[in-house]
Amino acid sequence: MKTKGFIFRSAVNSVILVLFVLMTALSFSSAETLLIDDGEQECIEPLKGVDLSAFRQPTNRWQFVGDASLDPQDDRGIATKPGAGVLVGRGGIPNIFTSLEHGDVEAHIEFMVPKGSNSGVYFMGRYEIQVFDSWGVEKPQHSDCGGIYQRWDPGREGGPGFDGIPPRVNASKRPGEWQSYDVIFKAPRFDSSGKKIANAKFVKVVHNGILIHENQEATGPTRAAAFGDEKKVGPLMFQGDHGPVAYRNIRIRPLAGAPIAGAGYISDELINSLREYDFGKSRNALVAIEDEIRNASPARKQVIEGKLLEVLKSGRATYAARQFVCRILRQTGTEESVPVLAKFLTDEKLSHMARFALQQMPYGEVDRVLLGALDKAGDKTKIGIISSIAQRGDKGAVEKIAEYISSDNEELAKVAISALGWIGGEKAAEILMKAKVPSTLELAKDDALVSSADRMLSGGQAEKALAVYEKMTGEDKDVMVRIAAYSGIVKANKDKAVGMVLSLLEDENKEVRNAAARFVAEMEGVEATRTFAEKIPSLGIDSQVMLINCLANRGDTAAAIDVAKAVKSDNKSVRTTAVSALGEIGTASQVKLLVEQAMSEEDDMAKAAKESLAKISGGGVSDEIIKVAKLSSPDVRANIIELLIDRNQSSALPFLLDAVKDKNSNVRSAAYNALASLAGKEQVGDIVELLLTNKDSGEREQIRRALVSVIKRLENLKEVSDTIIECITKAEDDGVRVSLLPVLNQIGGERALEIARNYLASRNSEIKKAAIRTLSDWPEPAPMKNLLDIAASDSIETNRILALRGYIKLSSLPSERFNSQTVEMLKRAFALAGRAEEKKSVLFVLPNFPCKEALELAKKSMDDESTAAEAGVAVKKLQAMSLIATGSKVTTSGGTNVHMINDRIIPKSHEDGMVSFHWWPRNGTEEWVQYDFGGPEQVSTVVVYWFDDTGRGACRVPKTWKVLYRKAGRWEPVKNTNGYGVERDKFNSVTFESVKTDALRLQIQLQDNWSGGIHEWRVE
Amino acid sequence: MSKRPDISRRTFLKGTAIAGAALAFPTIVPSSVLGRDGNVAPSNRITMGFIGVGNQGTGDMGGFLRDKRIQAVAVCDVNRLSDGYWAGAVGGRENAKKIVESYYSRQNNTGAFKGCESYEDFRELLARDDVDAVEIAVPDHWHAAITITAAKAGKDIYCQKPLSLTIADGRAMVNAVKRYKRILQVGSQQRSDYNFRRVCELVRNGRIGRLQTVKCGLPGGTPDYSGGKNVSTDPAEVPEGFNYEMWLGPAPLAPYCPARCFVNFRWIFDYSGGQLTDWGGHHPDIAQWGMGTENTGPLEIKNAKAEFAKGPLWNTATHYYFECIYKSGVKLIISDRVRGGVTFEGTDGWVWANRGIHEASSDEIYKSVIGPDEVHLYQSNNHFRNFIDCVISRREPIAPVETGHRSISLAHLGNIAMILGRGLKWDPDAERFIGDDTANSMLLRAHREPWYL
Repeated sequence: MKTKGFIFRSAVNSVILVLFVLMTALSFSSAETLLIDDGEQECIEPLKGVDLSAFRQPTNRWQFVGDASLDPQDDRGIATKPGAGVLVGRGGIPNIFTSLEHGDVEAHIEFMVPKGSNSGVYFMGRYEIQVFDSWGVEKPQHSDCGGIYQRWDPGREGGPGFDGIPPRVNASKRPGEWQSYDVIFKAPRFDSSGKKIANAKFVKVVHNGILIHENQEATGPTRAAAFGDEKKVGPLMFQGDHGPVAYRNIRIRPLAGAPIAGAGYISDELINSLREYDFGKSRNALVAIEDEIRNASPARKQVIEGKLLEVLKSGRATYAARQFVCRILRQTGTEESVPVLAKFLTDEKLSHMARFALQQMPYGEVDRVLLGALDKAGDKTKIGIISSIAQRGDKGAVEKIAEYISSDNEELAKVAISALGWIGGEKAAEILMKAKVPSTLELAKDDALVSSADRMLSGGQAEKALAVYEKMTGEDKDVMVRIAAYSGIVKANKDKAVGMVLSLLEDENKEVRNAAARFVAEMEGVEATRTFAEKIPSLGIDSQVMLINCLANRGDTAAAIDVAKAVKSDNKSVRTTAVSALGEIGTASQVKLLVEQAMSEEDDMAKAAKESLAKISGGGVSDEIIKVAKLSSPDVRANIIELLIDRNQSSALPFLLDAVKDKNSNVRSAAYNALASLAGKEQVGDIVELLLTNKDSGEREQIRRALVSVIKRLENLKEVSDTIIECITKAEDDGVRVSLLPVLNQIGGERALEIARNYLASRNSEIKKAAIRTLSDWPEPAPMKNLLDIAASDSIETNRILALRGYIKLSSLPSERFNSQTVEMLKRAFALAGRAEEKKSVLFVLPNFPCKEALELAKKSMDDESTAAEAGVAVKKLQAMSLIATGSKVTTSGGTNVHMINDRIIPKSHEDGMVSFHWWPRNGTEEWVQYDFGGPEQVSTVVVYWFDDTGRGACRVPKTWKVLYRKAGRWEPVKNTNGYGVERDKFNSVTFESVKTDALRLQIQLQDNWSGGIHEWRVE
Repeated sequence: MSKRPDISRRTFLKGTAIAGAALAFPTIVPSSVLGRDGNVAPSNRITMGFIGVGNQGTGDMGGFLRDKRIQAVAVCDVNRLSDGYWAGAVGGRENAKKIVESYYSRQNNTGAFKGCESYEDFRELLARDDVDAVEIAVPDHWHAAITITAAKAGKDIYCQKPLSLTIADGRAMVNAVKRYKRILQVGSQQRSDYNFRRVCELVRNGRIGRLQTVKCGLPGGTPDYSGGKNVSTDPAEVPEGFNYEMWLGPAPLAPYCPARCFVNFRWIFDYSGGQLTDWGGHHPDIAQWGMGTENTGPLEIKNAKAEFAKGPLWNTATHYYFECIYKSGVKLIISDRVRGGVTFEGTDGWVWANRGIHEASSDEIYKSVIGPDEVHLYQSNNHFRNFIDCVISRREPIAPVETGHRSISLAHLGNIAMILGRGLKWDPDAERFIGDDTANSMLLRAHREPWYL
């Protein structure tokens, strides 16, 4: 075998192919196959990066790997090694396109195909050079490797395929070996009206170093082209939907002067469209330019910048186009653009846009051009320029800006003053301090002085800043200037500022007092907290309230003692505010005080204190609350116990278990309530013990309720079931047994069931009744038989009725049964029912089990006058349903809310937020749902309402789906369908050739990167 | 997965307060401002002005009017009166003035209440000494200039979200509010929704283990909000009664067209930042609350990808995805392609919240009780009332300016990364990108003269 390398040389007017034949043995993979750089067009290598970002996104299942070779296990597959540089497709995946769009081009492409595999390289996404395992083929066709694959027209006379061109020779290598194409390709040409005047042309195609085509025209797009039309540029495409293939060392070089687009290339056409762009017109060119800039390398960005600057300079561009250029220069402009933009600073209409681009640029030159433009600009434009100088903080501009302070134009003078403040520093402050301004600008000047001091402060000149601040706090100053200056002082001098803030709390101006309150809330330091807190009693009422509020906002417990003192204030607002504040900053020391206040006769006070006790936290608070409770009078204790619920204070449980033995019944009651809320499985034994020992039936009821609450909360009842069962069986008091039996249905399970059943035989009628009730509420259908027996034969009518109701209830529980089986049970109940009430209950639940049998029963009952109305309703409901779907058993490949698939509930639209069956968080997977009818049915239509939560979630209608039916245990697709709809907000109906089957299945492919679900599926 | 509303067990407080409001910090109005019947006397009410009375501002005004502690005294809008707002509805200053006057007329049973002035220029409203507080509900490009002017004028401010148009605008707003010691509430009212607070408390108290990923699912697209009334992009004559030059204000010069103004301004970068900033003030705000990063930000923006609107005018992102990486290593994903709402994922489970609903990966987490000495977050159950509470008490509101600024910064960072098409490193203390001058240049936009910060 020979290894050959060759070089394309492209000169200005001609392309000369020079073929070097290098005689070596073995592999071709390291061949020197070069494209010569003529210095005008750069060579693009889309596989050179760290990922597939040089390709159109998404790149689907194409892989980016370090190496690819034949799979040693399977010569029709590819084995890969991690890394970068090699593009691998496993077959059956979408084609992949470069972002670059080329016209006339030279390309070098290396590829590897496993045995029998098939792919293709499509120039401009349209004209294919076939990639195929043609090893050993003697007379190659157009469909063999290297062939220009045929075009296709199904209506064409003489056969649909045409214009395919076989390679001159078959230069193919063995499958698994790397091969190469070197191609010179010319794009089709069009006249000014867009009519094609020359076909696309393969000037040269070299396969593994051997020339296989020369000057062959492609009369139009190949059969499997991505686009049916022909254009000046298009992306390079690699076919992925046939077989496995690998590509590497892809090098693309546009021929001199050839159009190019994508990947940071901007054509002259785009630039021309930009020049003509105007408001309200198509932004396509603008969008294309923005996209290219995003994709461009830094070098290409500079090229683009140059082109855009030309637009700005040229007189031929619209205002809208220039505005666009300025926006883009803001994000790509280099120093090159500064002088160009500078010219527009004095242009009234474009000055803002020039500043838009320039203002944030990091170049010193920008400062110079802004300053330079000032003298030449009109007044309004000057305002903008000065504001930009200020934003840049150009200290060198201070003196120049100072000139405008005395401008007759007040707006101009004002921006100059503000700019000096913004730039700040000693010099600006000095100028401002000396400046004589009209009275209307005094406020602006003072405010700017505070700003200039702010800059000095952040620049480390605290003393100088303070001197300015002090001056700005004078009585003659505007209150907001004073506040700004106080803010500066607080920032500059935290310790000394405390004293100042104290005096501000008493300032005669309300705004200043308000500001002082914010200082109290924000200033740091425990000492400050104490100093502020001590101040409370010396202030006026409103100020006290405000101070206490802000001390609470401050969140420092160091204020608690003084705030607690305020609780004793004569003023109601102060008292209640203080009590509220203690909820946030109180400590254990204030618990007793709060408890006292919670018992206050003043409603507001008691309410505030209780709220505070509910949320007060920190070291020792919870313990202290219990301590106080123990020491308090029974009334107070009962109140505190209620409070523990609001605190979620589970550490109080030992105390509560003591409190249930309290002599005071209110305390005991409160403790039972609190146990109901706070107790866990550890306390179940204790509560059961209470139940067994308490002699008072009223209290036993309270204890029982607490026990049930606790049990309901438990995740795992097994751990406590023994304790409870023991209690029921051991209780000496039948009353306890009656009260505890209903707990058994919370526990459930075999043993509990057995015990409950045993008590059906009790001679104590109350216990027997309790047992019937317990079994009637059983979470599973297990006791149905017992209930049916009682309903049929018990001597006491009440028992029969109770049992029958229980039976109906249990038969209505969700189950694995087919609906027809459930209806069979309901029929039995119906037959036993002596009274219309029970018959009505059966009819009421009947539509929950739609099937033919249900409809029959309902129809029959219409003849009975006492149940005719209810039967009518049931018939109407049942007739409106798809009885096959609702009678089916549903299984799925996974997902949530399976029962919703045939629950007959659909939303008004995808926007109404209705919950549905869904597969989230699975994305893009293939899923299925299945209906088992429970017997053969003749079906020919399936109707599906897809779940789509666009705007709220990640579920969308599926990509594709199909209906399968079960035939002799296997799934077969239904035939002759009229199309599978995937529209949202409606039922998608598909009809098919009628089949008799006992099950249907929907096979569903979710959209890539999206999940999906089903609101409703009907079958007819 | 549990999906039930929680039933309050606060029996102790039953009957003493409006359910749920009980544990909010109370604000006690000094007795001196109470009238004889216990209501606040009109002369002692907080006087409010409403700047921007289109769909949002007019709606919010209705919420404020119900609070008897305030008196609406002024409305302001550059639009006198027109339709074309949300779903085609009517808005503008004359409409708002009428609403206020008829509301108070009904309250007073006088049949005729006058006393609400209307303004075209916000500066005139802000110059009034007798206005204590303002709501600002104008397009985003006006937020900074009006908020700063209002702060300087000593007003307390309820500023609609998104707080800012750019990160630098936001920082200037924070500085002004702090400098003049104003109360500012950002209109990100999800903070006053129990469900969001609940999941944040669960996360803060470690109920889902160590927090790993947070996902904010926001809407995508550029839906027409005007009900088909304001969709034309052809330059047109400015409608009578609409001061377009004032509407445009600090934004770049552009001819009037209907699709540019009123509710659809959101889809144009000159005035807003698309769905991402519209919703960026909500779910990412909650994400930062749950993460405890309310006053800081991420260190990195990664994998930023967007599709931008391509029509003749609207240009904001229609589909978007980016990741914010925090110092803790937590990854926050903001996208229109993840489950709507906020999902917090930890080592031991997840919690999710959206408006009026929350879920957890297990019943145990869902029902988990927060004990007395655990983290309890700031509780507000009415965003408007909380603002008025704080105007009176001078306490920090539930959505203060720094927090709102940091929340919307995430959306701005995402937009910058998506526009530039690259990942970015961020210094949340300096609020600058690291080693990226271009990105830094996008933190601010020059305001069009004669407007400046």
